[in-house]
Amino acid sequence: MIRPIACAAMAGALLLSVTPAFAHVTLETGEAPVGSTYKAVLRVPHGCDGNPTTAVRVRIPEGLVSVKPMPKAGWELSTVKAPYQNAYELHGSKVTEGVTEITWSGGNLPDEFYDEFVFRGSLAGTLAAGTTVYFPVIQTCATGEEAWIEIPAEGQPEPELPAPGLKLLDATH
Amino acid sequence: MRALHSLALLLLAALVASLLMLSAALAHAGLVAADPVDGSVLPAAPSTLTLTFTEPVSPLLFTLVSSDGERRDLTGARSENLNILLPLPPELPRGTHLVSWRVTSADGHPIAGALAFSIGEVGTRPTLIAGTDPLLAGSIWLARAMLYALLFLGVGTTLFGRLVAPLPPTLDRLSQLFCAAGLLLAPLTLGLQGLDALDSGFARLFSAAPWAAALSTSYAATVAAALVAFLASLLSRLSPEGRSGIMLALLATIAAALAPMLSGHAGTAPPTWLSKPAVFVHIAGLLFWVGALLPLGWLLQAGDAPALVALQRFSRLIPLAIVPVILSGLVLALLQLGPPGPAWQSTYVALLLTKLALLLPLFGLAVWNRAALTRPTLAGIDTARRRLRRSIGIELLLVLLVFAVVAGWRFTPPPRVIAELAAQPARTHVHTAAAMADITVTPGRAGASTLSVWLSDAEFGPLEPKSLRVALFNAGLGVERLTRPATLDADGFWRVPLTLPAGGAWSIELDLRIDDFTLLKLSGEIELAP
Repeated sequence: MIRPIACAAMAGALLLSVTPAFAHVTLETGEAPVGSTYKAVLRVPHGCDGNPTTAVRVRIPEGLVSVKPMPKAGWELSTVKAPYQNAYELHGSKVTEGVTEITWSGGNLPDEFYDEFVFRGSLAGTLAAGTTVYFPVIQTCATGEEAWIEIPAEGQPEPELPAPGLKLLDATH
Repeated sequence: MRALHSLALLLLAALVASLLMLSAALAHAGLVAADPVDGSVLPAAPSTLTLTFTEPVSPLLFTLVSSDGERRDLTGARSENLNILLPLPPELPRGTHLVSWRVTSADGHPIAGALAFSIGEVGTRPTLIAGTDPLLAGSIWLARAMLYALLFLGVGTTLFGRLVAPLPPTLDRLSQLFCAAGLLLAPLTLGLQGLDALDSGFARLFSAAPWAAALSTSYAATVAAALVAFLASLLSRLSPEGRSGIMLALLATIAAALAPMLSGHAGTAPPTWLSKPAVFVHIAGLLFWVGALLPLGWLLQAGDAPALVALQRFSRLIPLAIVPVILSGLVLALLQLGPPGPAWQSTYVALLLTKLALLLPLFGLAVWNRAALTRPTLAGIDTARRRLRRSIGIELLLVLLVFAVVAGWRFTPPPRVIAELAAQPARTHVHTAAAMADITVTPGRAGASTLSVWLSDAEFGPLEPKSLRVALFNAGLGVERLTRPATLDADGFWRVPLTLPAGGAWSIELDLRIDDFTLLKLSGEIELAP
């Protein structure tokens, strides 16, 4: 019995030690149970090589349905709606399409400042617990862009610009 | 006397024939490209393997180890311009196959390599034990060094006997013995060459295959010329005083000087209109000089009139030989070295420096002999004569060491070839389940170059990402990632200019931006020359 506990403790320690570096675009809440409502807070810690951020685009992963972004003062909000790959049950009705991409644009976030971009949605109950879904983000600046789109692979060094990830947990009843 | 004349004519004809055996004279070749590329993955079995070299080559031996472990020799290879086309057996199974190849270039030296390609899927790379047997390499080296020594001591002393002074009877017999030994050794070196060409063991020396293989290389012409030289030297004894004797000795000298010109690195260095005459002049001059050392030393045992006459004639003639030897030697060294660069850090240059280290005392002694010892010896001073004899003995020893060093060149490509190969593109193939890339770096060495990438999806269909970023790093050298964006050219290749600090194995990573939010990564390794 001691063994699994020790393992869990070690895994926990390991998880803590790899909490995302502050310099990356990340999600404030890094894990959530499947079948729950998830509030995503996208943290943008800096601009692109000193340039101010003017737009943030995020791709919604398959399985996060009924997505609604939170408007933000000083930023224009737009979404892209598209059919999902699969159909999902939500509150007794079938959902086959929805927001797959959100863009906050026309803003100005200087490199010295920090900001958060918020949206929420429902994690489908059919998603596999234990896996991680990724939210690729493109940060557009006055000059240049940073594409936080690389999916970390097992056994590979941490990517330079990793896509923010959300670890899926077992459903809570 | 009539008979001797016709013999001389016959030998001359043989010499001309050996010259005609030469195809277009070209340099030591290297592999430039292969189709399929080493490490590539193909949708279906290729029907032909194409190897492209820097110079035309002749096919020798091809072995296929297929993915099921079966090993077989492939026949039917033919050469076409710079290419070797090798038909591959039909119905190769899926998996990784290895082809080991062996060809011979115009300088007569066999070159070999291996490449792997996969059909459908990548398996473990089959292996083939290869590499020249050190015993065989040692035998080839020893036989070469001895053949050089016999040419100079046999043909060279014969020339001295005809041109400078008659050889004492015992020395004359020794000289004939050298020539006879050369007649036996020269064909043996041909057999060894054949063994090396076919990469087989000593046991096959008594079968026809290695001899046939060697006869197809340019080294056969060298052996033919050497045989003419030894035979003409022996025949010149039949008319010791007559004109035919002198003619035959000169014919022998010409043949001996032609022998190294007809194969080997030196006589194939471009431009050959310069390198071939340079080799000829170099060897002819050396034949006169080195050929005189043994007879002079021998004659100077006594300070009698014949010895002094011989010394006087020799010292009058020797500048005519030494100056061309030095000049042609310089020309050859410059041609072989090519422009200064990393290729100079090769075994070839190490051997050249060793040779120069031996030549310095050799020339020092030669100058001392002529400037300080010849006159007192001619004046009849015994101490000077004894010193001169000892000095000539040391010269002879140094010359034999030079032969041993020079025979080692047989195994090393000259810097000009190394540099030329380094200027050729380096290639690699990388793939994942989703995409494949053929990567080429031109020229495939450190310094300024262009990296080009051809992309396709796993089904060999087109793959056009929005952008492509190339990252290179070298953990061995401690070089961190160099990241560059590539641009798509009209011909469908992505290109990026590079400047890499050093050669070696570089890790390469391709970041393919399939769409805004999708990144595909490919990684592999590419080997660059220094």
